[in-house]
Amino acid sequence: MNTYVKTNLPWLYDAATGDIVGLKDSDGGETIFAKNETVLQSAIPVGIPSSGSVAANGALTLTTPFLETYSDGVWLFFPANAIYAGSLAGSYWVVMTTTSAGTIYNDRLVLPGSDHPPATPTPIVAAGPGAYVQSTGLSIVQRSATVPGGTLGAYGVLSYRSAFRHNSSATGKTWKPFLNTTFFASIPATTTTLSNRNIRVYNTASQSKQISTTWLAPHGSGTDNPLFGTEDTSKDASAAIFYQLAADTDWMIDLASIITASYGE
Amino acid sequence: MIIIYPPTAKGEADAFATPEPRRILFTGSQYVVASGVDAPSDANAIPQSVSMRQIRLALLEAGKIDSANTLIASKTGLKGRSTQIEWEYASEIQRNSSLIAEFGTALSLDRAALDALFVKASGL
Repeated sequence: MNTYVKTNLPWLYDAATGDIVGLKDSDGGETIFAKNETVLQSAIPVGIPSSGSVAANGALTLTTPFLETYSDGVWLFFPANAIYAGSLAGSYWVVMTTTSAGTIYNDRLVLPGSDHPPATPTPIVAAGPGAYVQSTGLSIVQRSATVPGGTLGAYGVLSYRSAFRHNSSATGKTWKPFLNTTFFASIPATTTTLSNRNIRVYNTASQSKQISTTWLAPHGSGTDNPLFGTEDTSKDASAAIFYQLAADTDWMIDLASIITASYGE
Repeated sequence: MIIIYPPTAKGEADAFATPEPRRILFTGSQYVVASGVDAPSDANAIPQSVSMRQIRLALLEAGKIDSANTLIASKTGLKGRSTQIEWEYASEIQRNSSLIAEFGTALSLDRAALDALFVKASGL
């Protein structure tokens, strides 16, 4: 890139935060920098497996196999007492050796926060409780990040994008993007095995009024109508993606997601 | 009302014991149940359309499929025949369609019950 320094271009500062937000030209014109922020990006797989069984020391066998072997590891949700007596519900680090077998480690995903693989996974040393039944009808967080207050302004937009693997069945495997306590889509995938979801949540002349628009690939049978919210984005807000199964023999794995925020005024 | 339950087997059982309307989230470290007046935010989840297969399965699960079929079969005249063709051959049905409103009256399903039917159907 060729660059040069132009003189007489004073920085413009945000009066409230002191941040540099643009330049003032020598002729008096103002150039405001576009502000885009990636609030979340991850391709560390995370998801909800089917029912199955857990033998001693976290040896996992799934009822319904995945389509790939996640040998580099994956965060998987298990209900309470599924891994060992007294284990808490949550997403644990699992290294798969086949599409249906792997080892669960005693490392639990805490969101919002890092979903990086544990540097040294913590082995489980305990008897296996045997068969477990996966939770259904429960929205389980898979990705979560904080959108700093004021990031969007009154006319900004949040963009949620996910690609996820799932088994093919008639029962719904549902993707739900949330802003605080409002979700802006609830879109089931059924008889495909890879789905992409893409949604925008716009502030509409207020930091506390939103409308959403959704694109589906492939098209699902759920709603893609605009949805509305009244979340206050002038304060720190939670942007999260939840998944939900309707049948305990189903599974879904978020392969990658990204949430971006664009300021608008 | 918002109630927080721990990530234990009892916590999950207590969360699912909450009467409808409710919404249950697992936030990573706890179960969060919104119920009563705090549950209506789930209105965003009500699908505006579902497939005919889904609505039939949902009616079946609700024990209403026979009544629905009887209602459809009883229709006469041009409009009635048109409804029968729609019921037989349409690919999807809209939440705000006149037939769904008619189901509500004939099958004793109020607005909330019809919303719940569509939510159920979308997951089938």
